[in-house]
Amino acid sequence: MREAAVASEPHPLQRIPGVAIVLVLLIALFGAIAPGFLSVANLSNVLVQSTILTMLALPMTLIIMTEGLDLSMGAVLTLTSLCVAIVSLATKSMLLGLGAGLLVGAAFGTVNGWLVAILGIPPFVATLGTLGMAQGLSLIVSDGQSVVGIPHSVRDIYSATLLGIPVPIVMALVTYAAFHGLLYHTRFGTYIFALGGNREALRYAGLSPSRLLIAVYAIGGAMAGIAGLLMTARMNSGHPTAGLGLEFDAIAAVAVGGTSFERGNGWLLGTLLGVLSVGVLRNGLNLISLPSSVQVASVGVLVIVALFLDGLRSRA
Amino acid sequence: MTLKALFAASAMAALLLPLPAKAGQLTIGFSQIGSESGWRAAETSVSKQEAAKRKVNLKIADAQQKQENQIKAIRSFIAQNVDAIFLAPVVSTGWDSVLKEAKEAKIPVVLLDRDIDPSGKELYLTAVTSDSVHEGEVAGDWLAKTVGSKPCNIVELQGTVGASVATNRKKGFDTAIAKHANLKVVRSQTGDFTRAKGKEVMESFIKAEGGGKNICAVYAHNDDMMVGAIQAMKEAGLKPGKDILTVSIDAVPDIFKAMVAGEANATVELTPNMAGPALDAVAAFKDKGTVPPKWIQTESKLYTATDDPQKIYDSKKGLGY
Amino acid sequence: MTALLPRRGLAQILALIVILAVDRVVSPQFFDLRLQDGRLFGSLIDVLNRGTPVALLSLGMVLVIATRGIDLSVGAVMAICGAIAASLADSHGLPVVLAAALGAGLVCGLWNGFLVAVLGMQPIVATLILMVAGRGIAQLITEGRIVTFSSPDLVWLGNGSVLGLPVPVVIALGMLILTGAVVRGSALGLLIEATGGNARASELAGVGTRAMILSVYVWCGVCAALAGVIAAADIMGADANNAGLWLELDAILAVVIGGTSLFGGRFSLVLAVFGALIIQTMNTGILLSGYPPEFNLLVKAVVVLAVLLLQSPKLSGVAGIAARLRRTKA
Repeated sequence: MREAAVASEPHPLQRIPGVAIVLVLLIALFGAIAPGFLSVANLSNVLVQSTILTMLALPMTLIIMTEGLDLSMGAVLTLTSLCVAIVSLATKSMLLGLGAGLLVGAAFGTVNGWLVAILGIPPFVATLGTLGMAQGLSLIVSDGQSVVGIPHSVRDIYSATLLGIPVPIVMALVTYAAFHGLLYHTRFGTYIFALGGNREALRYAGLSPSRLLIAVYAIGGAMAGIAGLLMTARMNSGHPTAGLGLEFDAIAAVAVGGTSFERGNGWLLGTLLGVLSVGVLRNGLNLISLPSSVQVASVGVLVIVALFLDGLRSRA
Repeated sequence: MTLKALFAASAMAALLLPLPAKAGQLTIGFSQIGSESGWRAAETSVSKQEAAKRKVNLKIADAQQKQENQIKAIRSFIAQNVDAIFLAPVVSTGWDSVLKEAKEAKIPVVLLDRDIDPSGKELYLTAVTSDSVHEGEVAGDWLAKTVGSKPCNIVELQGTVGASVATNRKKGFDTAIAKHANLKVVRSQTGDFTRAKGKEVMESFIKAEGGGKNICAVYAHNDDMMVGAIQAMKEAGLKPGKDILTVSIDAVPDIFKAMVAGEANATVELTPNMAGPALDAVAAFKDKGTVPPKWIQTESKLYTATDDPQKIYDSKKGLGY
Repeated sequence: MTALLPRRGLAQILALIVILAVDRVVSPQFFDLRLQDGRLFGSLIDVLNRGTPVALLSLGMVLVIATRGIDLSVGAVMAICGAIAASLADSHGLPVVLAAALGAGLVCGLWNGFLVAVLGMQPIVATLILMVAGRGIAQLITEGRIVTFSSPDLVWLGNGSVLGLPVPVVIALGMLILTGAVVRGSALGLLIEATGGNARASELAGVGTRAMILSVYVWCGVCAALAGVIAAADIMGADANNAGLWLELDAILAVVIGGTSLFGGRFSLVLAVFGALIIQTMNTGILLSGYPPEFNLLVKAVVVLAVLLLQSPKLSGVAGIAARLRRTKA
């Protein structure tokens, strides 16, 4: 399995995976029972609302492929979202805000990578520590309050369209394309597969696994920065708890998408479908107004159904 | 049990009967914050009762404390073209764009329980809220009146850091006691609005303030934290309600139980019936075009042990608190 | 081997001493103890008492982690079992209440163990399922409100005292001794470590790794159930939304601070409980300090990272040396 992962990219068609089946079933189900689900307005909603999670889940896939994890992503997103809000408020410039978000995000990602790769702290606890730092800093820089009055240039990112397509969707598509290219068509991508599957091989090839790992985590942090811009734009403000728990949604989406947590085996398209499944499920359950307790439980059920389907297929 | 049956029934109805509402019947989408406290659960169940009374089809979406989810829910309500949207906003800012979408779709929005920031006033029909700064003031005034001219060290159990209710209840209380030089908040820490944290923080306060001897009163931003704090005081051998005065906010049933036992002194009610006035305002607006005032303020009534707490407890305990 | 034993735990003891010293600085009465209505009263007792839920969770968690697993669901299991205990408390006797709550924890553990050991799911995903779904189940049981009770038996579990010590502390101590006796008094501990160290080799060597994995998750579920019952007994009510919230992270942290590797293998029950105490000593210190609550999280995160750095095998220092010796031995 490991060797296969390193030697050749996975074959998406070989495994019409559980996640695709789940997504189709969910759409069919809610199309049948939830009034208004299949309307263009609602579907475009689901897509736009899924963009932030996409921005987190794609880098999370890479990190998980290295047998790592980033629990700090939601909190870092909160912090970068606040940075975008504060800096754009002070400078009236969207780009400077984005720059600040990217910088802070990438810095946190680099620290994560450094703790994991250089100091050898397990990713789970290292990123748990930075989660606390990012969340704590968020409360401090915002003084526990919302940051309001940010310039229109930021807010417009969420509502603007490009060739009729909402800008967040365009951004998510570009991100996906970039990650796809990075993972499947560059040497760096091959190294990422090796980081999870065969670290020794990298060393023999004269590469530094530590540096590569730091890069992977830094990418995750930077993506949280971009997602932070979207979050600020969506809420038209910065809020000190905006990203709470998003990391678990991202991890769930990656799991639903069939990426393995142990074998350095990742599948980006699966992650994308996983994000959409989570989005469709939440939206559909909202439409038929199920009680919250059922909604809370639903994502767990989604993970298990997708994994069961995968399990059944691999056994067949 | 009844709640569960209601849940089940509404879920089944939603699953089996996705038919358009009957002509004349209003369909209202309610983006509720979550079920983070007993008060919130009561608001949800009272809202259901009030809607059923008026034969309104009320769709409740639970946001689990996230603005993210609320914005999603509002967008889906707009997509379903409901007659009106009730929103209990989890934070005060960041609603402009989604409320503009509702306005463009000509769906009136009524804010319940909490207001949003001033920039958005034209974006909603009315707000049915309690004034949480005022609640803090009522609590502070009661304490000032009760203590008189004696010096009084107060410890404060704050709500969740970053929650606007917590900020406001702190502000109102601080304003009220600022007029009295003998009242002083000596310790203030967050109890996250929960019983467990309220108890844990109070335990620390007691230790830090000479076994509780230096504390004259506790002010908690909600009753749940106070219920926890009362336990902590009892376990430390103190007599809450006598050695240490208590004043908190929300008026949930369990604080009246403590009042009956003489362990709590005062609470400021945050009425769970926000939906009633909101439904009336929407109905009048839809039928006759009556534009309600921008703010329908609910009363922040003070309850003390002289208000027959047993009776209030009995009347409130069935509400799902 | 015996010569090395004192070195194991040195980092944790140092960390605890430093944090205790800081607590003493921010709160001069930190070490004061007195007898109050037949029970000891003071900040140190608070640390023990408030640390109990995480200590109990870490007892189960450390075994799971030793098998190279992880259990993210313990916080949700606490909520479920607390809710069950609170709903039954006023209509049934304590034995029934405990049996139902612990039974539920056992079932939760069985479910996790089944997913991991039998279906071969990755532990983090398998237990993530119950983590997100479990809180919903707990909310279904409580119907979204705080279920209160007044049964004196159950209340005693949370607030009573034995020989001056709070009952929860005694229970945690009992569980530590029981768990220790079972896993260290037999070859079980070694088998668990073997499973985590190299599952395939252990299987070939005749270790029933599946049964081993299944049983550690079950034990973890039972420990979480007990923690949930105590948390409910403590506030005389079950709060499905908040009980055990994020405590799984604290428990995992406690295990790691206790020096057990997340990659499985050697574990220490005592040090895991020590880890829980370190976390709680810090929490209590923060509450006593009187700093504004906006700083709580940041202070906690910085201290945790510092403790982890102290233990990092890549850093030199006492802990580094101890860890290196451990490594070369392994």
